[in-house]
Amino acid sequence: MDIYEKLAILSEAAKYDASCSSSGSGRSSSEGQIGAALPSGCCHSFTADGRCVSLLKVLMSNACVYDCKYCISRRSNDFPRATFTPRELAELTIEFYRRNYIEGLFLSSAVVGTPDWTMERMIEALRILREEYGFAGYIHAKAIPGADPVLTQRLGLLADRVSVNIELPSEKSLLSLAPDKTKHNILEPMGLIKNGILENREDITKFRHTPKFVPAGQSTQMIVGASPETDYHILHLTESLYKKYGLKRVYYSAYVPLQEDALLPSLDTRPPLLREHRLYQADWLLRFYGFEASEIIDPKKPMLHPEVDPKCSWAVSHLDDFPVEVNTADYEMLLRVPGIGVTGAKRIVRARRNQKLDFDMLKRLGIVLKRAKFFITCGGKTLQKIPETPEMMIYSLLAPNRMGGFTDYGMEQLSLFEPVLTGEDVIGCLTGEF
Amino acid sequence: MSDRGILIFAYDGSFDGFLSGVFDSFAMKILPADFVVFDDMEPSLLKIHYVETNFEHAKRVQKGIAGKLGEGVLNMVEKAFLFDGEGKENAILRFIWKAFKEGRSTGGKIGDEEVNRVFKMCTAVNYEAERFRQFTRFSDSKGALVAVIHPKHFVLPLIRHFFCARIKNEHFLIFDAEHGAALIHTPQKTAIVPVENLELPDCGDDSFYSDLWKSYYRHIAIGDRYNPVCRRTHMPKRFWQYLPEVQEELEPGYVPKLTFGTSAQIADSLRSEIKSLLEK
Ligand code: SF4
Repeated sequence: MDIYEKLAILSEAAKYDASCSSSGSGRSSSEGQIGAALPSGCCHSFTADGRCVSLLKVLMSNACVYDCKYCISRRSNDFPRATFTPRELAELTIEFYRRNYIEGLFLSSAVVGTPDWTMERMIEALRILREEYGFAGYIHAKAIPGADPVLTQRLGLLADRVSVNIELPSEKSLLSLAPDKTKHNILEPMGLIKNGILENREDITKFRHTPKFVPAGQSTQMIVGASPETDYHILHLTESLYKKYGLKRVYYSAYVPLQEDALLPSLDTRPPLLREHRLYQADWLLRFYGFEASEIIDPKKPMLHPEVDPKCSWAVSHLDDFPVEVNTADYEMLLRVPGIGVTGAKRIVRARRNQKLDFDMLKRLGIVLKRAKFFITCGGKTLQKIPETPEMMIYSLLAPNRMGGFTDYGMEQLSLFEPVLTGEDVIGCLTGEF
Repeated sequence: MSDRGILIFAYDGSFDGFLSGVFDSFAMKILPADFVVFDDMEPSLLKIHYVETNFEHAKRVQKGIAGKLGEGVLNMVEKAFLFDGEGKENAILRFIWKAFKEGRSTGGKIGDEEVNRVFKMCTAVNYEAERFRQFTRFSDSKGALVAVIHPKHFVLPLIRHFFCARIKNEHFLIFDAEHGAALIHTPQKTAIVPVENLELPDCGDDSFYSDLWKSYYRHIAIGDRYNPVCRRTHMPKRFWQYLPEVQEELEPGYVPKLTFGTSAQIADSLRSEIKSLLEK
C-alpha cells in the first residue's frame, strides 16, 4: 500500500477527533533543527466544515482489536485498514511542515495488538521526529489507555500535549458502548500525566536541564449525543476535570451516527451541533470568564437553553446586577456583560484609563452593542430603555429575528424555526476552535 | 501653526523619509494638508515641500518618540507605517503631534478619533500579517522553498521572524508581488530586499506532497457538517489562490501560476538568484 492510500485511510479515521489546537507550548527553534511552536498556535487551513486545520491529524493505525460501538475503526466494522511505519509518518510531517501546511503532528491510534505495542510505535515516530530531524514544532499525542505507565511517561517527554479521551460522559455509557475500556483505564494515565507535569515543574526550577514533560498540558474529548447524559452532568464533569486533573481543554464532539446499533441513536439522527455549540460556549465561560458550572446550569433545568446562549441566560436571571457602568465596572464584571468578550473588555479597560468613555467611543473600540446595550450604562446614560423583567429581556434580545431580521445574533436563532443551512453555518463557525 | 493646511509634504516612500518629514513638520511647526509619496502625487495648486530623506533626522525622531512617548507609541508608528492605503502618513503624523502634546498616555486613547485611526491601521496590518503566517505556502524546488504572496499591507517585516524561526536551516524566498519586495533567507543570512520583477523559472511542480496534502484535506472534512460560510469566514476567498487544497474549488482545473521545477538546473538558478539578491 503506498503512502497516498495510507494517508487517505488514516486521516479519514482520525477526523472525528475535535481537537486540532496547536497552542499552549512555546518551543524556540534553537531547541532543534526545524520548527518552533508558538504559544498562541496557528491555523493553516479550514476544512469544508469550517474547522481549523493546524496539525497533521492521523492515526498511526486503524487496525483495532477493540470494538467500541460508536467508532468507525472498531474491530467488527468493514473498513479498509492501514498502518504507517514510524519513519513514513515522521517524513510526511516534516515535508508538510516545511511547506507551511501545518504546525505539527497530532498522533492518535487504534489499539493494534496490545496497548503497549501501539504506544511503542507511536513513541518511535515521535523519537525520529524529535531526535533525528530535530523537530521543535508542535506534537499532540494520544496516550493509549491500558499501556504501561513507563510508556506514557516516555510519550510525555516527546510530546507538547498529551490527551486521554474520556469518550463518554459516564461510566455506565462507557460500559455499554465501549466494553473494552474502563473508567479506571482512562483516569489512570490522566492522573499520571497530571502528576508528571507537577513534578516536572518543580524539577525545572531545581535543575536547569530537565527535559520538558507535556509542556502544553493535557486535554480530553467526549462524545455528546451518543448516550443519555444531560448538559448538567457534562458541565460538572468538565469542571471537575479542569479542577482535579488540571486539564487545559475539554473538547466535545457532536455524535455523527455511523452505524446501526440498538444502543445508539438511529442513523438518520442529525449530529447535535447546536447542543455542542452551547456546551463550548458554557465551557468558554468556565475557562475564561470566571464562571462556576453551578452558575451556568441548574439541576432543575439540566439542558442549556437552545435559544439563548449561556452568558445571556445567566445575565437574564441576574438582572439585579445590571446595568453596569462601563467606566467603572471591574474587568470581571465587564466580562459578564452579554456581547462583551475578552478582547472588548480589555480594550475598554485600556481606553478608559485615559479618558471617559461614551457610546461613540465604545463603537470605535469595536464593541457590538446589539446585546450589550441592554446591560450597560456609559457615563450614567443608557442607549435604550432597559427591559425590566426577564421575559421582556429575552423578548428584546430575540426580537429582531422574530420579526425576520438578520442580526448578527439573530442568524443563529433562525435555525430553530426552520431547519435551513444558514443557521448551522453560523453555529459550526463557533464550535470548531475558538 | 498659522500655515496649517496650505502645504503638501512629498517624500520618497521609505520609513526614514517619512520620519524626516515628521522632523520637518516639527521644525517648521506645520501640519501639512497632505503627506504623499512623490510617485503617487497628483498635480496640485498647493505648495509642495519636498522632504529630503535625512537619516540623522530620522534617528532623532525615532529616539525622541521612544524616549519621550515610550516604545509603545513608537511600535504603533512603525506598525501603522506598514499599512498600505491613502492618508496613512498624515494620520500617523497627526497622531505623533497629538502624542507630543498630550504625552505617553496617547497610545491608550483608542476611543479618540485621531488615535483610533492609527490603532485601526495597526489592527489591519496585524490581521494581514497573521493571515500570511497562516496561508503562505511554499513549493519545494530541489531543496529551496519559494512562495509568492499579494498582501494588502507590507507584512514581510512582521512575518519574517515566524518563518525564520521555523525553517532556519532552509533556503527560502517569499516574494511580495504587491509591494515589489522579497524576504530571502539562507542559513547564514536573512534580508528583505526590493525586487522589481522576480523572474522565476516557471515549470515543473512540487506535486508529490501537494497532492498528498490535497488528499488529506479532502479526507478530514466531515460531510455531515459541511459549512461553506464558516470556512470562508476563517479563510476568505482572496487567500485561496495560495492554497493547494482549495485552488481547484476556486476554478476547476486551476493550475497554480507559479510552479517550480524539480530539475537540478532550476534549483541552481534559483539558488544563485537568491544569492545574488542577498549580495546586492
Ligand atoms: S479503541 Fe475504540 S475508539 Fe479507539 S479506535 Fe479502537 S474501536 Fe475506535
